[in-house]
Amino acid sequence: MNILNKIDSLMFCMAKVSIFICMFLITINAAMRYLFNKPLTGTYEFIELFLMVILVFLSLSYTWKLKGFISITVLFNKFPLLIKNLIYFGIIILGVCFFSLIGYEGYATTVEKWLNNEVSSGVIPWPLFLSTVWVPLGCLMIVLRMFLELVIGVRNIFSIGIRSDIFEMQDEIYSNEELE
Amino acid sequence: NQSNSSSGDSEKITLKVATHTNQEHYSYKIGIEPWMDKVTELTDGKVEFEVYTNEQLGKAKDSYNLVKNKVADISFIVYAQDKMPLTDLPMLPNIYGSAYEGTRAYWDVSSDGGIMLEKAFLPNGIRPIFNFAVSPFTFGTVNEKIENLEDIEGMKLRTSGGLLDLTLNELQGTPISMPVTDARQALERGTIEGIMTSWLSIKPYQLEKPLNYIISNAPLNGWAAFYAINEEKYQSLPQDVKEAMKKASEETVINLAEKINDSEEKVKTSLKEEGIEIYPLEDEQVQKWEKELDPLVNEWISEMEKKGLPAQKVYDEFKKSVEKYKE
Amino acid sequence: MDVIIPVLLLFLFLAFGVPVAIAMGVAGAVGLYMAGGVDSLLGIFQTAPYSSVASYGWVVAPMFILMAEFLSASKIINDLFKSAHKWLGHIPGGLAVATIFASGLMGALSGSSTASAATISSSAVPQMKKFGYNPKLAMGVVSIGGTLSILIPPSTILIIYGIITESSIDKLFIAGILPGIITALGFCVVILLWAFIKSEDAPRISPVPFIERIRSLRLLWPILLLLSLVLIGIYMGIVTITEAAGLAAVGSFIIPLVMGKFTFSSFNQALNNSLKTTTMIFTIIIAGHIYGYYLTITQITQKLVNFVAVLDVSKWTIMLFIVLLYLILGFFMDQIAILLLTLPLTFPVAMSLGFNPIWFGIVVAKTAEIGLVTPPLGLNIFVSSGAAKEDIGIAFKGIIPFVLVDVVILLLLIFLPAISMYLPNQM
Ligand code: NA
Ligand code: NA
Repeated sequence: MNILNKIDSLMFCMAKVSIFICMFLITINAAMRYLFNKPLTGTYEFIELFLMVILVFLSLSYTWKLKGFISITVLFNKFPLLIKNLIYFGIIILGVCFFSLIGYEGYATTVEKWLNNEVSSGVIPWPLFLSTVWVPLGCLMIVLRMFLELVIGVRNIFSIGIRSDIFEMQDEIYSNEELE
Repeated sequence: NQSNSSSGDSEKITLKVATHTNQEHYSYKIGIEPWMDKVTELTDGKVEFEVYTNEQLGKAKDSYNLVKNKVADISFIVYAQDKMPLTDLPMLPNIYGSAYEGTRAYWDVSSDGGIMLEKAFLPNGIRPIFNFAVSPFTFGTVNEKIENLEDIEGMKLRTSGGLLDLTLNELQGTPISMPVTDARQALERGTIEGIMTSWLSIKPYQLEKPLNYIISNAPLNGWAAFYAINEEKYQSLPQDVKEAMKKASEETVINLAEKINDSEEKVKTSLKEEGIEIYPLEDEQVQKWEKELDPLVNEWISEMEKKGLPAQKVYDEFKKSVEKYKE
Repeated sequence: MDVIIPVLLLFLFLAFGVPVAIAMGVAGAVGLYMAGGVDSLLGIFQTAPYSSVASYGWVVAPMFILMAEFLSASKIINDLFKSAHKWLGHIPGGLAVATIFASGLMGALSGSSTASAATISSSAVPQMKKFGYNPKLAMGVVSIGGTLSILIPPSTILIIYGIITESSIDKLFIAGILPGIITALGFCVVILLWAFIKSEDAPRISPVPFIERIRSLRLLWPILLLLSLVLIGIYMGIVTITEAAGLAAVGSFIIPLVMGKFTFSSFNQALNNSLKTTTMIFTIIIAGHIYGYYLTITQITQKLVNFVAVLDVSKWTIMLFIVLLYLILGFFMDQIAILLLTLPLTFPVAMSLGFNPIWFGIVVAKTAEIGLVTPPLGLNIFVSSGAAKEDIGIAFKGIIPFVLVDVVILLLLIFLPAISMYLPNQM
């Protein structure tokens, strides 16, 4: 879990740098166009091919950790603790399936683009595998995190028993880890 | 609804067709629609089509993957350069002179026995069922008339990116990328001074309102696109259906070549009537532009050859065909 | 079967609290497999996730989110209410009117109504209670005030609508301005009536010296100036919506930085929150596309459009039915999820009936505003009650007159499309 968290932080950091660069790139591009009649070549493609993909896919796992995915909890909140826990494991399994499929397809796409040396057509011929590679990387990360949550969660049920509310469960998983 | 080829003739075959355009677009009206009707007619209704317009099955940039991955059987492909770089050829400057030449020549190399079919399409598992080309792009401007190369220098012109940016850079203009839907407003407000456009995109986006000058003979990039069928799917079809498709394809290509040329002429006439000055560059200028842009084609060929793609041969074949169809 | 099972699955997942993105994604995957086979499933999963993200045009979403996060991290936003209070506090119901006014401005600084509601309620409710306001009025005002940020640009809901339906986001933004202002005025009318009928609920307070009012603007004017410039820039076509979003984000970064209002940790927190929200939204958009393609393959959409086309009722009856559907869904569901679930069906129907896409977006956004404050799931109520440490029941009671005005305004927007379309038509 520790190594996982470190790699994840690194990826999330890249996403942060991306969103920050994005902001300045757009502004500088607009300013150059109005002031010097000469926009920054390739801004459009760079944001579309790299920054957007990085900032979304590399923060997938962290968003899960921060409980950022919205869900409808009206009914869920009414269930007893044990059921909540079981449902939570079910949710994780669905999530693992969903992101694995996206990640696997993203991986296949990336390999294909890499083997064929695909480049974008335009003034700067960007290698395209560098654009899609963030899809499998991000998905791999969130799948690993979900999978570990599942393993640790199940183990905790057997060793400690059920005592936490579902929303505290994630926290507990991470805080238990710190102890080890 | 999986169709099966080997069993009897009476069995219905349903093919999924995807396009990002609506049903009013010329590629639909005089392209895929008559093609589908013809195939249904020639097969006595055995082949039917399920049509998904307006990006219902995927974005325009995914059009290649749609048919490659069999999400659809047939798809309108406007962008597949990263998979099949050779299909960039018609989009280079000064490759052909008119929609008619471009459409016919492109089909010559992309239909049975054509080099593009063998070297670009089939290795990627797809087969064009028809294609078309529009006349080369032109420059339209609001205030300043472009009469020689110097006029373009530093001028902010909207392009749709890609190879058009290369051309504009070569001519010392400033390419501005923006969605074509924003172009009219940008022209009216002076965000851009002009636009690099095909004749057929002028009216749909109401560019005729802000534009005042359009060159009639700029030797710029062409543009071509095609509908393609998944090759595996195609090979699984009964022989009579394949024959019907071939026949429909030939008819559709010739029809497209003529009708696109006609509609471009109509656009020009109507633009003139609306008071837009459509003027030719002088011969000496045309040659100057060509001289400026020819290196782009040569660079492209040597880039492709470096990747092991027979670009020189494709180029030669294409050019030969173009000559054949010159009036 | 390939219609029923995936739809049932989706509602089952949603009911059991599966995150909306995963619920739609998995249900869509099952549907794609059942309706189109393994080729369709793998094909769509190869293209949709990447294509839903790799688009220059959609960088507006992270940029406007970033802007809002920078502003709230800088705490400049907290001064907004204080200033509005100084200017308007002395009129009848003055503190409440000031709160609506501040919420409207907050709406222009933020794309998210819950963030807006949280910020305002934590500062406005204690203040109103201190001066003897009825907690019902206080809670009603802060909860409803937050909803203003949906129509007043920038707006996450309108960006998502624009992405899903491929409508022009700048036109949507401009179209939201007048309805947003009318809504704010409607709320002010409710407050004035409330204060008039039950004056003990909103005691008058004495005016603040003019010089102090001016002084309260000291920290605010650079941000307000920036925001007005951005909006004017979009309206005049000087900048594209993407550039406007980028400029707004940079401005919201630099202004607090120069004023010394940023710490590294608040800056870092703003980046974290922005990415969290952006990724949440794009994951749902990815899943929404997957689910939408499933609906397409089964041709449900087409059948629905054809079915509606032969119905022997006026197109307005159908529109009212759609709006009613949105209001009912709004009781139970998250507003973004509603859009993603329904737009693949309602948008083609609305377009086939000849309605304007921008106008439809504004109407849908208005129903989203109402859904944010209606029980049992009224996100804004939860957030503002939480932030103000007040009972949820009080807030739900206080909100009633405001919701009634909201419904009236919704009807106005439906039957007078000019309110939404006047400004974008001038662009
Ligand atoms: Na807003
Ligand atoms: Na609600």
